[in-house]
Amino acid sequence: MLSKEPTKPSEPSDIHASKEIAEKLYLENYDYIHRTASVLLQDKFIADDIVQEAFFKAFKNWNQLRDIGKFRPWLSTIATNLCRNHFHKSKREIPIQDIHEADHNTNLEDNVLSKLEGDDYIETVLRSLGYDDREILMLRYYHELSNKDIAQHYQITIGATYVRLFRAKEKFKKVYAKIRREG
Amino acid sequence: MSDNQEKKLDDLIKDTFAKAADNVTPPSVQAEWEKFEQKYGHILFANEEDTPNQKENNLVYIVKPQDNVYQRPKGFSNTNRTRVRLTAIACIAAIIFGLFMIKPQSASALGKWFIQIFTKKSGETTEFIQRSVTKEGGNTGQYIEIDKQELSLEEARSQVPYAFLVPDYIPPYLEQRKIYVEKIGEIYSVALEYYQESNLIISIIQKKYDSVYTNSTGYDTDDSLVNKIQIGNYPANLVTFKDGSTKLVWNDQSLFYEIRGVLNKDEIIKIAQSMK
Repeated sequence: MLSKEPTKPSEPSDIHASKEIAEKLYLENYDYIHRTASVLLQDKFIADDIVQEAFFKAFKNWNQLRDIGKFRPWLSTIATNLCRNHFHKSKREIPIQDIHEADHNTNLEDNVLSKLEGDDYIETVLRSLGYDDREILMLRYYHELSNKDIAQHYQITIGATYVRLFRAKEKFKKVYAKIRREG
Repeated sequence: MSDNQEKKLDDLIKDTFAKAADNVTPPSVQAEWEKFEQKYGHILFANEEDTPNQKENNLVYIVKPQDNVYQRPKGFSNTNRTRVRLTAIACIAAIIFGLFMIKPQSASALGKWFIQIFTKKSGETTEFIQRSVTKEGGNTGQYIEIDKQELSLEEARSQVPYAFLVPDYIPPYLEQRKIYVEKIGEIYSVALEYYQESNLIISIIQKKYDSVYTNSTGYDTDDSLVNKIQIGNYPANLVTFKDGSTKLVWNDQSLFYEIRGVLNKDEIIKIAQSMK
């Protein structure tokens, strides 16, 4: 897995070499952002475009970045927002089938949460989650943002963040349990 | 859910997203950078020729300056500017509307009020006098012929359709009297003029109106003094000018009177009170 360590802050005096700095930041962060966008959108080709646009926006609004050491989280926020906008504009959502059937089984036994073999289930789980749940879980478990950071990202209260996160996790659990049950 | 289950779920979600991210195969980063540079490089990146002062200024700078693009001065955004303009227009409209609502509706009253604005604007050096006679049935907007002629007192009395007044008292040094009758449309104006050695000393003007009449005059209070006095039962304005001349203006139910001349205050009042 890629390192999630943010780019080491560059010295302000180095930033004159703008193109070189941009290239460095691009090369260091491209993979991470592309993977994020691909998981969120569940479409690699759209992710290609979104990532290019995210870098463009980031460099264009460079003067809004106060600390170059926070370039990666800042770029992630831009990319995530672009993904969300794109997704909701295109209204491209995978229908979730028969999730309610699993509702009565949500008092899950330990074995229900044990890991499935292989990676085949992953795409099904992620697609079944729906975009909004997928995004908040991505921020929490892949970007490892704190609840406070997530609240800032969505500009909501920490209480509302807990609620959203709880619902997303419950959804994940139901989807996962269903896939596991169906084998 | 127990803590154990909670932790299991957290691990499962974390593992799922990590695997999902690992399963993505991004394109060649170098190739993507070249595409990016080709697509956005000319917009984004500064070169040394474009920004000669950049290093001296030690700016955090990564974006090419858009020299040809007009940069609005910081302050209001477009949205805020539009909002401010609309608010200003609304305020002005509200003020104008409010002024018309709180002030009298008749034209003459509004006229007085309107002129009073300028009275205040010019400081304490202007005084406004307005007199009006109001009757029903006046016509406006018609072509009016003006006809002026000098008549004897008897001729004037026979021609003028109302009983104008003649003063009993006139200063004894005035030798000559002329009477002019002026007909403006249906309105007759009578002027009694008194002379001393061919110099006009006193002029008495009387007018009768069939409808609304408003007379407004402004005086510079640096050069004149306005006193409110009583002529018979009617209020009058006596204006004393610095050059020694005076003017007395009043009206009764139907006539408008004006006496002006080189007279002192007592004499002009005496003339007015003697008019019969």
